[in-house]
Amino acid sequence: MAGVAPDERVVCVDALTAAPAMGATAEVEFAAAVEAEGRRLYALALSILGDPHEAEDAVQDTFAQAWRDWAALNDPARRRAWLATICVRTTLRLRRRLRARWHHAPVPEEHPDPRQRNGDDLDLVRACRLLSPQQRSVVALHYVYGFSLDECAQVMGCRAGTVRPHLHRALLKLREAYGDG
Amino acid sequence: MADPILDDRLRESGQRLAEQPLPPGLRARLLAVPAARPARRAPRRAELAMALATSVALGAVLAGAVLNHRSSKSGPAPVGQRWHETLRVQVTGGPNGALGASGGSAWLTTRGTTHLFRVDAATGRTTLAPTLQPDLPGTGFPDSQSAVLVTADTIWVATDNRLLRLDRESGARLSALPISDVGPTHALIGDGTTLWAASGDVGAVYRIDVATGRVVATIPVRSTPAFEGMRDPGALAALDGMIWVAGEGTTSVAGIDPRTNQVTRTFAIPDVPADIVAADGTLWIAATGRIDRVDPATGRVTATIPVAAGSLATAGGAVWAESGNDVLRIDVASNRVTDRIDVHGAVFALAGDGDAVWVGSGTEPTLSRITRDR
Repeated sequence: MAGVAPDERVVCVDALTAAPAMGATAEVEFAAAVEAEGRRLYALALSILGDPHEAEDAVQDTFAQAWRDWAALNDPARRRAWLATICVRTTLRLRRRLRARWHHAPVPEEHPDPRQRNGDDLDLVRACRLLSPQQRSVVALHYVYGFSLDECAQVMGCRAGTVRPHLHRALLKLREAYGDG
Repeated sequence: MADPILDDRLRESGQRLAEQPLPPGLRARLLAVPAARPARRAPRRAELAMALATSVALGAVLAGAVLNHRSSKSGPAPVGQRWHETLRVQVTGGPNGALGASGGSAWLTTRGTTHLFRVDAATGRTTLAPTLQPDLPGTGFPDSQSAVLVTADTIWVATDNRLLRLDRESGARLSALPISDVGPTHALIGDGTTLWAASGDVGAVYRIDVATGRVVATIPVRSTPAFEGMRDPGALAALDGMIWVAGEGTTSVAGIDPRTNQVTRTFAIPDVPADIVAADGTLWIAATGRIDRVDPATGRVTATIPVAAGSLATAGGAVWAESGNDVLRIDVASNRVTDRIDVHGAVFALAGDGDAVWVGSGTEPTLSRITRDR
């Protein structure tokens, strides 16, 4: 075994029984991504879908998709945006099956009146219920991920000029509901 | 316009949300994804897996309790007092499946299963088609999309990147057609000779020759994207010799001319559509909080019905719309909602069948049939 790094040994053995070119290194990276990005992706999905259970499914689907294509992403630095892109697409696709809930999302009783003004604890998930799916996506990426408009556009595969009007209209709605005015 | 206080509150709320722990069990399921090759979403509830295992082991017809009440006395009286839920059947499996209906029967996929359920209106009996396991890797029909279309002798089931052709009577799988390398199929329409399948991530509509089972044309849909790169032709309608395409990520409707297999008409719509159907010579398009009736010749909205609706269907000369736990009947002569039927669960699918409409609803899926008083 001299001269063989532990990771290389594991990769070789694993490659015999597992997916091609996927080994312990990939699994370690994947686990690290779950730890690093799981909560934020769940927040993103929850903001867009509004349903905790469906958001769980969306995040699980996101990571399942990501694992299938894990080897294709050579640049770990881009992994965050890549996962966010998969998550947004997954949630918007899932949305079609959840149209009824989108249009009639029940307001949880434990939340205060959405029109509370100047309150300290604005609930983003609840606020997003006032918005269209596109607006929810932009708002969630901008405020949960802190992405700039350019970065939002990159995640969504569109121009910043396409994203900007959605954010503008979303903020007008939210200002009407939550602003001090 | 700028509201720095609101901006700060949203930013703080977003950060709080992102710092919340994952729901119990989710982290473990995510970490288990690599071990579950080929990776697919695991059933969310343990009892779903148990029910599925039992169902497969029995390999038989066990689809559930037929409640079959002749009037929906347990719910509020419908507005028009003319249309009622006259059959109610609960099936096993997950929610959010696809529904097709024809000739007094309905076929339903349910998330997390590998079977197609058939419910017969006359008897209320539920039967299971043979498993579609070879075409459904992992745990069965996916979350994302599937579609069911029933023609004279065939059931077409679209899921992920395949179009399955099943025998209408036995449910036996006849063939599987790979139609997309990229995304799932969202919608199917067609007849005995031609099928049209919309594929979301591809942003295209496929024309399929029923006789050969081959894709004879792939038609890119150049509709106006709300998000470029996220074109999602998710609903199809046939009217005036054209195929009309509406997508979740678009704010326009595209018309395909079957003679040229090209988009020859496009018109803008007020909002991103949820569904589209053709009835009474016009298109009906559901969007947030409204259903617009659109003249396809001009693209103009000729009437707007202010209801919150998602899925649409046509049956008995009327347009039907899901609205939460309710199914709405819209009279095409008056453009008004004449009936509202409570099915006691969130509606996830509608399918017209002659004068009746089938409704899929609830998280433990229930299939209802709504018919007129006789």
